[in-house]
Amino acid sequence: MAVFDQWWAAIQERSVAGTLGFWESIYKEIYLNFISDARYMNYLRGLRVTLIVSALAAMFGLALGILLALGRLSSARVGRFRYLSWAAGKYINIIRGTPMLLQLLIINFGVFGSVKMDKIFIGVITCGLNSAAYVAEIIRGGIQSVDKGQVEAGRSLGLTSSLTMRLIIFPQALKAALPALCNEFITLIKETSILAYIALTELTKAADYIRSRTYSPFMPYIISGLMYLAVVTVLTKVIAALERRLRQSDTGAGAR
Amino acid sequence: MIRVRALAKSFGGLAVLRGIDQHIKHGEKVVVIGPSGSGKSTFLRCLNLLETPDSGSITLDGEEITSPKYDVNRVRRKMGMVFQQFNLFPHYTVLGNITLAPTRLIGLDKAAARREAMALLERVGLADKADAYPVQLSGGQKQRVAIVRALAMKPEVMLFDEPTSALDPEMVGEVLAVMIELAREGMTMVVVTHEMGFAREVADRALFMDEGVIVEEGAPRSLLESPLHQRTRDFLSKVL
Amino acid sequence: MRKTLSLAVGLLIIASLVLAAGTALAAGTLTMGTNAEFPPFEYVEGDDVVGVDVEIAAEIAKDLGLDLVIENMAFDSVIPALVSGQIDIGVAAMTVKPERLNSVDFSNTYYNARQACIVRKDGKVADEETLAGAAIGVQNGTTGDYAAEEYSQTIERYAKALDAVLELAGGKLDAVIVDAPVAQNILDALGNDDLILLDNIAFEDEFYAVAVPKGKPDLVESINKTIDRITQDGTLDAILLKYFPATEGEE
Repeated sequence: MAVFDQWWAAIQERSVAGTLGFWESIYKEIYLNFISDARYMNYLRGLRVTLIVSALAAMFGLALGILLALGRLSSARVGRFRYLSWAAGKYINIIRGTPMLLQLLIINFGVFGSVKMDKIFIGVITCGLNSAAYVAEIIRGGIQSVDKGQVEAGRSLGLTSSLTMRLIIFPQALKAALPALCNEFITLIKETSILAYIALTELTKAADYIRSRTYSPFMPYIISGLMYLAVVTVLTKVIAALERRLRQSDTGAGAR
Repeated sequence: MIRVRALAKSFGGLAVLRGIDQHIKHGEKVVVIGPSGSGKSTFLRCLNLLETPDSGSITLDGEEITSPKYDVNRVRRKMGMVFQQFNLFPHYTVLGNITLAPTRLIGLDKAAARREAMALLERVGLADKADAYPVQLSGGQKQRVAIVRALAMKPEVMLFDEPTSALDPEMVGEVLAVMIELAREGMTMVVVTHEMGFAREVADRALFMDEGVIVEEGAPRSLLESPLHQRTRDFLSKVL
Repeated sequence: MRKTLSLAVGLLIIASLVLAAGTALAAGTLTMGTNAEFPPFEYVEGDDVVGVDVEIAAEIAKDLGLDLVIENMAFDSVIPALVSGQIDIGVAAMTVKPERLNSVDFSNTYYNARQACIVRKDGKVADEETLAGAAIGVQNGTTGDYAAEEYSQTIERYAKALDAVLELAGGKLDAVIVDAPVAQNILDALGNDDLILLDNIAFEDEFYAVAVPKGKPDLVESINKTIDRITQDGTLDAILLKYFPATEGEE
């Protein structure tokens, strides 16, 4: 790192004087926004928070989304639980019909307005509650895409409706919904950036922080952006591999 | 064994079944024929309550299964059902399809369920497909697996809903052979079908349904060769 | 490989923007960047941004014979906007700091402010000793942000000073450090008796000045002339009196 510091020292005076050349000013941007004061650690710490929040929120959102989807479909399935379907429908409508930023502000300054909560927890709750509404619709679509004959086959064997759902319908629905679910998770990772607004130092806030110290117009955002891109690219690859494996039961290549 | 009284069912104002009375005896093989839309599939699906009848009653071994207190899942365990579209579970292997219900519902342990499933597969000539997935099977093989899946629950009655209608012609025979063998062993069977040959050879009794009622019934040979009603004659002239 | 490519593309974008700096502004106007979350220096009243800084900027524009245009933005965006040429001057209660001189130049100063520390009456912070290590809220990139770093690692950086104070009132923070006039203004507006200003913490003096893009000595000189004029003819005092009614006359 010492060599980078020396290069900077060589041009710093002219930087204050405002007489840097083209390549020098680019070096200045990279040096100030990534290298000096070990600022890359700020990005990495922010990335860590982003990944933790995304992973926990995805799990929470998936679980709640599945429950919502089942609730949404319950009147069609059992008739007695119409109120459950009604409530799930309203929830989905409200979450999808309002900006996530407002939801975040309401949760942070309203619901947890006077409770000392870890900001990560608030982030997980907000992103999870939001994601659940979208997951619910995806899962519902998946369940409805499963052939009705599958339910009948399950029920005709004497399986209860919940066992039929669990063992027969749901696994097929999940598989059908997988590509859309993965899209949702990718969206979720990027949407955690709004947590910067409540001063949670995730990847976007880390860039904000560095920008407030270096006064670079956008270099910190480019660095953060590359990190988001790297994470999403890796995730996309993993998902593609997963989908390939799941498809094997369609083509039969997976049979022993 | 199964007694049906004044069974009626309509879908959204359209009366599909308009008063069916039937008595199916233990070990009897009954074939139901009729034009599409006649209500024959609905009749079959009412027997194991896949459709809930609007009125009328069905008793199985003296118990009224249409009573709201009766546990539907219990009656379905006693009645195996085979569908036109097979409806195998695509995410389970053949063996998984067959052992799913016995392990979950009868409490059979895995090894025992597997043993019984293999014995049944052996009988229908598909033992080598035990670990295959449904997509890898031909239509005839799928339907034979579907029959085995229903048999694995040791049902007292087998219901067949047009079991060969979705099959390529060259595969019809292998499925019918299994059904004929099953009939010989004394299984009580109710079969909705267009296979008149099967009806003639195997059935004890044939029912002709049209517009939600049983128009006529009798020994298959006489019903097919000398029907009493004009509607039956019209239908048979089209399919034979 | 692909990442190197994206980096190269990013650098090209930077380069073109750096080169384009200062060329994008309309003729005949003076565009002022500020963050209208900082009463009484700049805040929104009705549809307009008003405050001490706005009136000073209006004087500067008048002397230059230009029309004043106000761009309201996040505080931590003001200097970047100057660097990339989106605004002509930054007038945002901005303190002259050596770090900022890497990116912009400053005019002469026009106001002497100090940081203030807001705490809850029953909270754990009461003096410099208890401020150390406390959870401190600030507005991102302000001098309060820098000052807070002298005392604690646990700093939450908000886009608005008000949000930080609300979190303090909600018990989620132990203290908020913000410019004294702003602190007083927010406390007056909230009317929350639980919140008090600490007067026993020695923050450094801070001097506000107008920020100008690098390499514009003529503009700096012109602004300095205006500041000299309004200081001498009493205009500045009148402006300050208008926005700090009958309280301390710091300048």
